[in-house]
Amino acid sequence: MAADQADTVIGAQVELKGSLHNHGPIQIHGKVIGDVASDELVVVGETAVITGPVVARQVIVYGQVHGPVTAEQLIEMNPKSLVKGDLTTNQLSIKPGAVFVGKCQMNSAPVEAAAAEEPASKRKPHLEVE
Amino acid sequence: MYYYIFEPAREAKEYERTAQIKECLTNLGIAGEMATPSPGKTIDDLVHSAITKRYSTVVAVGGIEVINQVARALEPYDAVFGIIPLTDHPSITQLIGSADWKAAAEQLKKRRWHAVRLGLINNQLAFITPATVSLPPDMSYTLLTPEFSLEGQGGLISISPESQTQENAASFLVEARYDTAVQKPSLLSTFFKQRSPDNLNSRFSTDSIEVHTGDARPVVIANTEICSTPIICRPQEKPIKLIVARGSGLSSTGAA
Repeated sequence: MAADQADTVIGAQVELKGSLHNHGPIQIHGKVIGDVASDELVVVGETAVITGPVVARQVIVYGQVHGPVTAEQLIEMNPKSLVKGDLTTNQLSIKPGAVFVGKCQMNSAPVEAAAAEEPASKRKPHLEVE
Repeated sequence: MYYYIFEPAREAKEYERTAQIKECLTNLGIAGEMATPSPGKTIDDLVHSAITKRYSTVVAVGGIEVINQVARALEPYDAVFGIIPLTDHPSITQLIGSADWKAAAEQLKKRRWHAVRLGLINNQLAFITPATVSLPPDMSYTLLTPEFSLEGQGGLISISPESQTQENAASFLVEARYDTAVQKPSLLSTFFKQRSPDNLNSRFSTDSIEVHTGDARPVVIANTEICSTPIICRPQEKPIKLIVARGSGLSSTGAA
């Protein structure tokens, strides 16, 4: 995601302490000590280190998060990313090289509308680990 | 209905452009009273005169200095504010949604406006175009908002009042840019023009902001140093109505 597409961007060489909340997308490249929350997307860049909870509709991690991550729709962990904390999401993707230490809670709600048509007994939370 | 405050022309090209603008406004049917500030009559005097004569719209025609001065003088009153920019400063283009004076003149006729709250520095100085603080690369800064503090080093801090396009919208857009122009030149950078990576810059919206720097640094608005850090920026209580372009990305909240 280009920096100019995000409403809120925290640069690589700055340190933020406190609560960072935004209705729109958030992109983090620096250090955050506190909580991060968005109604849309949070991107944790390669150089980012977040110490605290992250809550959004989607969370894409390239850097580090030391704290719980909650995403209604998707958590994606890319190579070299690190999450030390619990994950709560409906859809999880962990790519080779990513490091995850914690517990994972997958919600039972269907990911897509089409899945809602399936009988409840056949619905499964979506987990992709390569 | 329209009261135009023109930036004084200084050379032949500018006189010619002023004449073109006046002709364009006449052709659009929105010619009104036109005035130019002088040593005897400041912009404050001209705005006061416009209000006294019951003009509903006061238009600043000029660069960011004139635009800021007119906006500041207009703030206590209920008139609509128009801008015909004679600058390609990106903050003005973003504010009104027009890139040149012809488009701005045409949008004056449509009279679509939205509310903009001027920024206020240290409870004293109002501004509508960005306030900037430039720091050398080894100087630290701290930005304080009601929700968080942000610490960094060097670069250019820019604080821009935001349009109130939505209820409870934030008042300021703050950018902390890692500006290679303030870097000490190195041999490498002399030969290889290095561009700062995009991920070094920060951007966020906030209702109010304090700027603290290692040493006092000048705060610049419209190419003029107006004070030094530390500063506190808050929005003016009462917004002004600013005429903007239709489909500018800024939702209009009324028709004047």
